[in-house]
Amino acid sequence: MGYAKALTVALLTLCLSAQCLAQPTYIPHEDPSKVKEVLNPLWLLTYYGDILSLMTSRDYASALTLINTMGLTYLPSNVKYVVERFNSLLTTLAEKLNQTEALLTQASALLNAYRLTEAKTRLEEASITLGSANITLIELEQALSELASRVGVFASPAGSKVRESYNKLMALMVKLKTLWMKYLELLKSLREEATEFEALKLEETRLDIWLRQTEAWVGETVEVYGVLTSGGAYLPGRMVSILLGDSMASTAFTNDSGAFTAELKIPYIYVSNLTVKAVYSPQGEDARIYRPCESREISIRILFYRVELKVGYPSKVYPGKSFQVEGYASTDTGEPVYGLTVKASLAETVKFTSTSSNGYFKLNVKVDPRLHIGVYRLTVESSPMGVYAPGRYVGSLEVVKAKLKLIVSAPSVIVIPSKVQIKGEASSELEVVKGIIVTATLADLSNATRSDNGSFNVSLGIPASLMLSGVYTLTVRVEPEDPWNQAATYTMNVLILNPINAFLALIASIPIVLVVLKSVKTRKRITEAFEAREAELKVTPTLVKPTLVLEGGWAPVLNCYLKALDAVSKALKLNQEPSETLREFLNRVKPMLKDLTVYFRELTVMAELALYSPVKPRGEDIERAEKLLDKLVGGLVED
Amino acid sequence: MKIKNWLIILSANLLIAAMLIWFYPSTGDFRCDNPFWNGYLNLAEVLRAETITDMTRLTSASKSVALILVPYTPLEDSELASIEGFVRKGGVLIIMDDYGYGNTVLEKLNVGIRFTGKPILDPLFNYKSPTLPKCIKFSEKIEGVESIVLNHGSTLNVSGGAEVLAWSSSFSFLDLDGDSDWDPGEPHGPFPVAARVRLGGGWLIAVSDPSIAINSMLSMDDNMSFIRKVLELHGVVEVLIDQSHIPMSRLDEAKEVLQTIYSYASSPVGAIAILTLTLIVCLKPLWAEEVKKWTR
Repeated sequence: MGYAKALTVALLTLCLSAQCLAQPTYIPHEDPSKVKEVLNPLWLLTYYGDILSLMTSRDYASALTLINTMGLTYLPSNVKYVVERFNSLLTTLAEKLNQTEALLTQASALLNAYRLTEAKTRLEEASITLGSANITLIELEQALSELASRVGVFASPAGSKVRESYNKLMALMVKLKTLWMKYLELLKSLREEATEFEALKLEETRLDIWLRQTEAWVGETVEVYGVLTSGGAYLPGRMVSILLGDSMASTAFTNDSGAFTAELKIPYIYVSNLTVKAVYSPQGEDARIYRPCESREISIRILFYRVELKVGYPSKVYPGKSFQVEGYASTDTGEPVYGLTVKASLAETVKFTSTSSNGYFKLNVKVDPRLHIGVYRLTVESSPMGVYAPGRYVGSLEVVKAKLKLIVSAPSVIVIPSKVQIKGEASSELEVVKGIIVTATLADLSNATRSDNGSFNVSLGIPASLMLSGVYTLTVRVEPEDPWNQAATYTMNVLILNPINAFLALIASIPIVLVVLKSVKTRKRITEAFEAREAELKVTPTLVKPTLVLEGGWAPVLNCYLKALDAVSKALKLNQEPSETLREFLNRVKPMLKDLTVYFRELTVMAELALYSPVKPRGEDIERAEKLLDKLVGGLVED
Repeated sequence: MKIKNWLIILSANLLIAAMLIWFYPSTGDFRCDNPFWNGYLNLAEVLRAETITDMTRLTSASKSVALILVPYTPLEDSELASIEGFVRKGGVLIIMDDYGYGNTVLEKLNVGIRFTGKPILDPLFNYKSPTLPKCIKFSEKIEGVESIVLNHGSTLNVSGGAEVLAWSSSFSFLDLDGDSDWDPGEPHGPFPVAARVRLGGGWLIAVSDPSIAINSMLSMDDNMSFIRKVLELHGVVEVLIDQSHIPMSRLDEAKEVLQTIYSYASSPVGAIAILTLTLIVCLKPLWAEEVKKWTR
């Protein structure tokens, strides 16, 4: 059995190692869970170099984008914290420097406009952000040193690319410090400028404005007038700016009496209200004499017509088919609007038209044939026109495909080999179906045809093969070329009968028949042989009553005992049981034999000696036995 | 030992071996029945994809069907014709390849996309190793996808009217000399890794790494989202995955042999032959013993 065991082990090992052997010769990928972590310090430092370069050129927005992208890099656990901390410091620094620059720019602009209080607030804020940037910069230097240590910069040889990149980073850090110093100097100079302005004793100015009207239509011109004074005296020949909302709308110069007028054209902005104000900013020598000032804000109500669009369209449309969008454009008071440009959009399809004299419009929108079925948004918009505000309507419609109705006729029983004709017709709820591609599939066989009128005839040749006889599913799939029709599938069960297969099965079943026949024959032979043997054994037995033959020297003694036993049994009507020994029987009959017991006991002892003892009998033993028998029988007769 | 005993042991071993091969899952790369790290089982399950082993299925495919093709073995002319017909009729072909026969398909379809067949490495934007580079830039049409991870992937050459859907980072490079390091002269990124082009009524989409969709990679970053977005973008509702052009492992070959044996055995002739043989083998000793015993 040793060889058998070895063979078993060999085969099992072969099977279990199938997985190992199962790999192709060239593996185009590797298990990501087993990939060894690799961190290339050169590329990491290069990337940080790019970020710092952007910061030194004050492109903080791009620098922040690059820092955020760092989240996509893979960081081994031993450097993850340091890199993330470094990125956090870089982000803080970029944000602080960006804020500082913005605040200094604002402060400078405010100082130019002699708005000293606001300028000073900005400078204070810039001072705080710049201080914070300085702290971050120091932390960043320390973090860079730690990062370099962790990624092995100091372990790389001097002059290596990694060392070069690190040195570049250090140089960029110096540049960042220089930039910080520039901001500090700018802050100082602006502060000095502000202090200088503060030291000047400027005269207060006052600007009052009025409007000729408090409401106006869009596109209408509104007259603004006002007066500029300082300490009660009019200021002639000064420029005043008029702002509409936050935008500069017009300028005017004061006349000899400090008064000014300006025409303000209301833009085509369809909002309820706009504010108007005037601003005086001293120019040239005036900057050292007068303070800038602003007038109060005056609200003006803007008038225009709101346009309402009432739109009608079908709830379901079909890809490749056109549908009509009808509507009516009117003002909120119900007046029709003529000449408005109306645009209807469905997915990427856009159609334009204009409203008629009675405000109606009609558009034919063709649904993109590539559109998939689903719910889409239909948007109808009217462009603004003069006093008419833009109108908008948003609705939804469903893009559906028409279901194809299929009528298919095919034989339900096929005897192969044969050519099956599958006829049918496809009709649509929309219109006559034109181009269709019909594919018929039965078992592993398939054939396709094209039809131009909806009716089709597909022939499916089923060759002679070992295909099983049975029920198969015939599938007829119809793919319409029209984008508005949906593909349809028809299935039916077909019984295929294969005579070749049946014949082969018949041939193949011959061995079974032979086996069965052989079994029957064998059984018959066995039965015959069994019966013959049984007949041999069936001999009627002759029942012969067994006779007791006593042989040997003790035979007369035993004969006497048997006679005595017979006599006792008959006299006492008791039989010796098969399981009963001679002594047991003696003990049972003893109470009933009374005085005769002594004879029967001795006879019993003599019988036991005859039966179990190797001692040969003496001549007087036989005589004694006969005497005892006589006495016992005699005694029994008397009783 | 008697020959009979040898035959019994051999048969038992063969049966055990056959059962192990039959029931042990496939281990082949990109196989839809492979649940291990290199299979496509998760992809097929998530997309509820139908696996196909020949291109005849494409003739009955509708317009909203996408075929995912990993061409690791050459395609026959008839197969290329079926694929072209499928795409021109409105189907979506997603060809995922890096070092296989993808260019044969692209040349046949005459589109402005080619696989470079050169390995892309990214020393910075990667998962653990430069051989698993991350792509971090995407077309506006692929909304919500931030990054995808390649696994020993390649890149695309895109020209003509083709539109790039995904790029590698600017730190990526083509490792032409295979030393895993960037050397002067080796092209650096960003490289296109996914692109599409209109072809007739359908779309052809090329992705330069089929491994982005293997079981172990599918859940990484936005790999699954990327595939979903690409399918959504082209209105795909049904996905077919071709399994006839992927590398076959020895286990798969053994499974195929068993499948062939099974198909023969399950045919009427085979079944009757097995039944007959079994009956003879089982009854032979009985006949011999019984006849000997009763005819003594």
